[in-house]
Amino acid sequence: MENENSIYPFLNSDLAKKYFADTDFALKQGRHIQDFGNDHKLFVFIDEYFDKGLQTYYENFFVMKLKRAEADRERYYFLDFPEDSKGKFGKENRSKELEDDRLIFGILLLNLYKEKFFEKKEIRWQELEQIFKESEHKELWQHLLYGKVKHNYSVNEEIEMKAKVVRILKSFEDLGWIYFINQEEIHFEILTSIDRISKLYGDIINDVENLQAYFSNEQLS
Amino acid sequence: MEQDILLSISRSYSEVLPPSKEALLLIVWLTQKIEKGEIEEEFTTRDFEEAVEDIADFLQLDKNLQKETLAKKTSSYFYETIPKGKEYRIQLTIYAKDLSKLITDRIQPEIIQQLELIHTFKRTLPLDEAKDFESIATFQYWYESHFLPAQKVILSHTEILSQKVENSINELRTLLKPNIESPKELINKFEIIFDDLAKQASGLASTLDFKNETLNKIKAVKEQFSQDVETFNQYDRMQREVDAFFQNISRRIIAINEKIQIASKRLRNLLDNLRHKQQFKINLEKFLQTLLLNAKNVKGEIVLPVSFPRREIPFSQIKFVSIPKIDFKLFNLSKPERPEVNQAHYQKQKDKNLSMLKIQQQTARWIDKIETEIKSGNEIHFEEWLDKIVETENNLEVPIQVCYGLIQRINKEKNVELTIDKEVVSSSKSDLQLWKMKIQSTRS
Repeated sequence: MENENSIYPFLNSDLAKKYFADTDFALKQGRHIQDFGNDHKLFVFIDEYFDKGLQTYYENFFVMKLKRAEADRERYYFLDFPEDSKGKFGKENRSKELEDDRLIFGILLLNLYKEKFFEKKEIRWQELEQIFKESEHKELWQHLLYGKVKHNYSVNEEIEMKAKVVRILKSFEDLGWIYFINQEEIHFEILTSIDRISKLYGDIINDVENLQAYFSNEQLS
Repeated sequence: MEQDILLSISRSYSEVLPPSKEALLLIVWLTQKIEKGEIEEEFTTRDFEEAVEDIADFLQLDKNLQKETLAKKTSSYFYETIPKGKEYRIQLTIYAKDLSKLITDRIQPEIIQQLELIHTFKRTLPLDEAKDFESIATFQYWYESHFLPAQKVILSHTEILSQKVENSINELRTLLKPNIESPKELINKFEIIFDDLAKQASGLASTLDFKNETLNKIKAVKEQFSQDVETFNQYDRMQREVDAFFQNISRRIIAINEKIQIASKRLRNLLDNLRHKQQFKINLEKFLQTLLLNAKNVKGEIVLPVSFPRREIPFSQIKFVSIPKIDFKLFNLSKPERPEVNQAHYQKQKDKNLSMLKIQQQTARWIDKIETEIKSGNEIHFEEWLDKIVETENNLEVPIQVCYGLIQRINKEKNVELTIDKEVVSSSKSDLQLWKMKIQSTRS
């Protein structure tokens, strides 16, 4: 035990007694932890013990990478697969694909985050609605969200579309990518860790000119 | 009645507002020339024509055409022609001057731009404790002569400052656009703008202090104005007004300050990786556009082609086991059909069952009674009990059941003896014959 604790000094800490369990659950559920809101204490714990055994713990026992990333000079932490395998998360129900609708909305939010470089990253429903109904790509958005392009949509179509967007945003909140200021009004803040999506798809974003090659096959998933 | 004003405005809409850009510029230009002393308050037709020529030059328009048209378009609401000696002079209306001032203050608030907000506060809200709190009348004078007019100036200053910050941030966004020339110079230019805004921001902090100080002074004299209800109500109303206004200003100042701070911080960090950020932003927009072009809505789901590479994230969900709530929404309101009932048969069966129940009930009572007798040490000659039971119950079923029940129970009891003497006894109360049967306890 003494030997183990010298490899994983975080186990001896009072902070671990308080926050390790919550941190562990959150990381394993795909959450990105940053210095924001309720995650502040978990962030402080990881930040303190990242190099004091915490990173090694996930590497030795789960064959997973606890990663530290930085965007806009703010750090965030998350669990990632090693390069050549999925570690102990290779079994069924221990990983998931980022669904297609999540990817599209993730890229939209990352884009908005970058656009608001000089401001707070708050988004209100009106801003999203403007994108869906008045932007350059409004017809593409409407086709995806409503299934058809019309001048006016019925109340039910609007409710259904809004519910779809809220479901996606809630899953982003679970991942720690956004924070709902007011869920009923769909008013939220995009958090620094939305940057993770640029890491997941970094190779494609940086080689965007050749992206069309992926779509040569018309078959839908 | 309330719509009268709307009706009046809609009728004179094209006249109360300058009808064209040229007309507006002419009114402002004439106002400024008068203020600078370049032309008299009552100026000549020649002065008017020269001003029209100035505007036409500025806008690069045909001078002759403009003079006639502009003179007609602006005549009614914006200037008057008045006789002076043998000639006619032109004078701008008060409405024209006020409109001109409103517009120039909003578009080019030179004085306000140079001054921090604290100066506006200090100039418009001086509070002399000795004089202004001398009586409720002097406080009222301060409220009406200083506070109420100051409200407008202070609000106007904060609006302009907020607009200025907003405009600067919008301009900053151009830095993230591709192909801008000399980004470094552009950033330097913005740094100057934001240095200026930062000065305003530092002034905002002292403005808040000054505001709090003024409010505290007013609150401190509460006792002084509490002598009678009327005075206090007057004081309280004014104090609340001042408080509400200051709270509003505080919120505005804090919001402006926050915007300035965020934008200034970002600007400082931008130069290092501007090119990279620009390229990344372009790529991101292209990526989103390509995804939107290739995704489809299939039965309400957004779907990309299979060939597109998906990425995974670790996701070990903690299972929450709960009983699913299934709402079928549809349910059948019809009731099951009731079978037809033969009432006579039903009643017969019911009576039969009740009779059987009564026999069982009475049997149990008699057995209990006889057992009590046995326990008391008495001998039981059942032929005697038989007559008694038949007489009471008026049927034979109960005594037969009692006899049977007693034999069953006694077989299980060690301390009770049953003696049957095969001598036939005839019952006096019924047509029944039985052997003599004696039951007694063997306990000493």
